[in-house]
Amino acid sequence: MGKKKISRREFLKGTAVATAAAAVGPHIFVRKATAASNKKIVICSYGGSYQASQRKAFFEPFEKATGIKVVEATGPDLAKIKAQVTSGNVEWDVVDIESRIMYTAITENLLEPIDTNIVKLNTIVKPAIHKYGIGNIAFTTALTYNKKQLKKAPKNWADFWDVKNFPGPRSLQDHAPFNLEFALIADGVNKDKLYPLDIDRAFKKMSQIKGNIDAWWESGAQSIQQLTSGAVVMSSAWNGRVNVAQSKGVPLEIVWDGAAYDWDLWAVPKGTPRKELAMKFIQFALDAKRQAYQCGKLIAYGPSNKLAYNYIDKARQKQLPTYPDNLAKQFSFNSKWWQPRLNKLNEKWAAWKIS
Amino acid sequence: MDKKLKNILMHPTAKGMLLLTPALVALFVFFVIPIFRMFHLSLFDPHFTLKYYIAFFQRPVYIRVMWITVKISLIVTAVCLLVGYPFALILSRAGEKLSKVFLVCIVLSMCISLLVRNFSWIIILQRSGIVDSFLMKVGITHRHVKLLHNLFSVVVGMAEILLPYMILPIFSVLKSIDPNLPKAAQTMGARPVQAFWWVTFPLSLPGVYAGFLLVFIMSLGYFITPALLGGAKEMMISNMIAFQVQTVLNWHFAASLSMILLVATLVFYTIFNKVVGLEKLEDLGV
Amino acid sequence: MEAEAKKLHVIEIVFGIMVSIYLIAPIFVLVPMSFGPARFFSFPPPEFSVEQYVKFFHSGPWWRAIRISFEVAVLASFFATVLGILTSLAMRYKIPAKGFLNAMFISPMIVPLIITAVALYSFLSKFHLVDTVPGLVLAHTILTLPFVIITVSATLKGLDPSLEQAAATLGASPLKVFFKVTLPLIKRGAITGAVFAYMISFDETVVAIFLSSSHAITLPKKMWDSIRFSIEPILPALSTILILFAILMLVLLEVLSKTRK
Repeated sequence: MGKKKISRREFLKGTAVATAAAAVGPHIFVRKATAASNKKIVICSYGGSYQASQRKAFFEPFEKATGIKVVEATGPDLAKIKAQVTSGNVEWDVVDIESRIMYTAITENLLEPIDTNIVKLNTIVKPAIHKYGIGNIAFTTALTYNKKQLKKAPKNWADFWDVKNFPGPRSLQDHAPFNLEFALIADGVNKDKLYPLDIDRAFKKMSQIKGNIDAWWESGAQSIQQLTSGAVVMSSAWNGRVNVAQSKGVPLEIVWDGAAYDWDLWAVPKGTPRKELAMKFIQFALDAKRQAYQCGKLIAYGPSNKLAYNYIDKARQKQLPTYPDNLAKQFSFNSKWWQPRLNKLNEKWAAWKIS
Repeated sequence: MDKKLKNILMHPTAKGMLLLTPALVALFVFFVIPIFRMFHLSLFDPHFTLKYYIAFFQRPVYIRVMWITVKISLIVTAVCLLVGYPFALILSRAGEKLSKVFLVCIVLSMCISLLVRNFSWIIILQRSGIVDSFLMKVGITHRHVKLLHNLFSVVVGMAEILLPYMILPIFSVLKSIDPNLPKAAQTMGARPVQAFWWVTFPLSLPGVYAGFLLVFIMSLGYFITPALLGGAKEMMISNMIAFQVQTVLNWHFAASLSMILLVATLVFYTIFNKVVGLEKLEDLGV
Repeated sequence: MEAEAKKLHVIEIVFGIMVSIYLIAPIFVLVPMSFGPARFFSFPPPEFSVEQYVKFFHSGPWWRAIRISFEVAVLASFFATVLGILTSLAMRYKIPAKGFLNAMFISPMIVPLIITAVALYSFLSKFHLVDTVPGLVLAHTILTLPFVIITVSATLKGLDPSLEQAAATLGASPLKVFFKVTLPLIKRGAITGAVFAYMISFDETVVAIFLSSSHAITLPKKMWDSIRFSIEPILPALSTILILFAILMLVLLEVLSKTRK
C-alpha cells in the first residue's frame, strides 16, 4: 500500500527545513463576525446519565417552551473554554462545571457575570451563589463498591487502602483533587481538618495504593462502567450516577463516610453571542419543580433551589448528598484552596503516576 | 523535434511551478505555518526563553516519558519483527491460494477502523473479558489476570496495527529474491537452514530495515492506543503533549515537547535513511 | 491447498493462520458481540438479538457523525486528489529544489499526528475554523495529500511522455492534452489515491479529537468519546458496520487493480 513508497532521503531534510521556511509566513488574523443566531443554544455538560437527566428535566422542556433548539456538547474542558474565549469564537453558551473549574475560569477571566436581573436567586441556597456561576446540583464523590465482587463491605477510605481484607482491582479519578483528600482520610486525618492539605503525606499514601489501581477514570460514565462490568471491585464515583445504575439493578453501594461534597454550577463563557439566552436558560433550569424532577426522579443529586425539596418525597431525600445524615458524614470539597494549586498539583499528579 | 517542443511548452520550469503553486500554498498555510507557530511558542513567552526546553531536561518525569516512549516503540518493533519476519517468509513461500488468504487478512486489517481495533482489544483483554474468563475456565489460573491497561495490552494493540508495515516490506524483498539462489546453495551442500541464514536472510535485510524504520517511527508518535489500552505507566510523549494542552493548558511546554518529538522522529528518519538507502527499496516495488 | 502442504510445514501453516487471526481478531470478537443484547457486553453473547442495530439506526447523533465524516472525507479526498494530480504533474518538470519540495509534500505523513493536531488546533482557532467542517476538510486535505501524490506519481512514472508530446506537437492545447491524454492515462492512479484519501480521512482520529467538539463531530471522534467516556453498548454493532464497509472498500480497490491489467 501507499505507505511504503514514502521513503525518500529528502523527506527529512524537507521537514526539518520546512519549519524554518515558515518563518517567512506572516500571521494573518481574520475575524469572522459570529452571527448571533437566536435559534439555538449550545450547552456543554458532563455526559452520561447526568446529562441524560438534564436533557429530560431542562433541555427538552426548554426547547418546548421557547422553540429554541438545545445543542448538546460533552466534556466541558477548561482548555476548550479557554481556547474558545481567547479566540473570540465561543461555541458553548452555557457550561456545567465543577466549582474548582469555575474558580480557575474566573482567575483566567473566562466567564460572564451572572445577570441577576434574569436569574432570580432568592430561593437558591447560599453556597450555590457566586458572581460568575450558580450552583445547579450538589454532588458527592464517594467510595463505591460492587456488592457481588466483595465478600465484606468496605466502610471507609481506610478499607479502600486495605488490599488484604478487600482484595481486587480499584479505580480512582485521574486527577489530584478529591484523591489527595481521600488518601489523607485513609491515613487518619480528621475529615474536618483536611485543609490545608499535607501534600507530601497524601502522595505518600497514594503510593501505597497505586499498584492496585487498575484504571484511572476520566469520566463519570467510565467509573460506573468499570464497577458494573466487574473490571474493578471499588472505585470513587459520583453518587447520582451510582444511584442511576442501582435503579437499573446493578449491585452497587455507596459509602458516605469520608465522601466529598461539591457543587456543579451553571456558567456562561465570556463573549458568547447568546448571553441573554444563556441567562434565561439558567433561570429556567433553576426552577424548583424542574430541579425536583431531575433530582427526585432521574438522578440523586442535591438541588440548589430550597423549594425543590418540597416536591421530593422523604425516601428519595435520604439518597441525596444534601440529606442532613449524609451531609454529616462528608466533608465539603474546598475549591478555593485548590484553585491556585490546581495546575501544579495536576502536573505533580501526572509525574507521580508514571514514576 | 526537441526545439519544436520547447517552443510549444515555452518554459517548462515556469509551467511546473505554476502547477505546483496550489498545493504548495495549501501546504504552507495549513501545515508549515501552524508547525512553525508551535516552534515559536516553544521559544517565546513572550520574550525569547529556553525555559520550556530546560524544564524537559530538568524534571525527571519528562525524561521518563521519553524513555517510556522509546521503550514501548522498541518493544513493539521487536515484536513486529519476531512475528512479522517468519510470517513474511511463510507468505513468500506459500502457494497461491494460501498466500492470497494471508494477504487479504493483512490488507483487511489495515482497512478496519483504528478505533474499532483498539476497542476490540478492550473487550478481549479486560477483566472477566474473553481471555481472562477463558484462562479461568480452562483452569490455567484461578485468579483474574490483569491483561488490560498495562504494557502488555499496549504492545498487543500497537503490534496488531503496525504488523503489516513490517510484513509487507520484508515480504516484497523476499519475493524478489531469485528462488534459485538458496536452491543453488543447497545443491552445493548447504542444509536448508544454512541456505536460509547464508543466502536468503542477508538478502532480505533491506526489507527488515525498512520495516523496522516504519514501525519504530510510527510507534514514536503513537497516541490512541496508549491512551485507550495503557495504564498509568504507559504515558507516551504524544499523550503528555495532549495532557499539557487539554489539562494543564501549558501550550508553551506542549510546543517544546512537540518539537522534541519532531526532532527525534526526524533524527531517526535520517539515520535509517542513511543506513537503508530507501530508493533501492522503491525499485524493488515496496 | 495440497500443493502448499508440500512446500510448507504444518507448523508454518498454523503459525501463518494464527498471525492472520491476530490481525483480524476484531472481526471475530465484535461481529458476534454485535448480535448480543444492548444492555451489557458479554462474550459469547448469551442470546441472539438485533437490539444494538435497532438502537444504532435510531440514534440521531451517531448518524449525524457519520454524515459529517462522509462530508469531510468526500471533500478532503476531492481537494487532495486535485492538488495531488497537479503536484505530481509539476514534479515531471525541471523545478528548482525538487528534492526539497518532494520532501515537503510527503512530510504530513511523517510528522507525528499529535503535532499536526495540536498545531492546527491552535492555528485554526484563530480563523474560527475549529469545530467546523471546513476546518476538518483543510486538515484532512493536507494529511491525505501525500498519499495521492505517491499513487499518482507511481502511475506517471510508467507513463510514456511521448504520447503527450505527440499530442502537443499535433497542436492540441495544453488543457486538451491534459484532459484527452494525460488524465485518462493517470485515471487509475488518481482513483486509487482518492480512495486512499477517503479512507484515511474517514478514519482519522487524532486530529479530529482536537478539531471537533460539539458541532462538527466526526465518527472517529464520537467513537473515541464513547470508548473513553461512556462505552455505549451499540459500539459492536457500529464496528461491524465499519468492518463491512472496510471489506467493501477492499473489494473496490481490488476491482480497481484488476482493471489496471
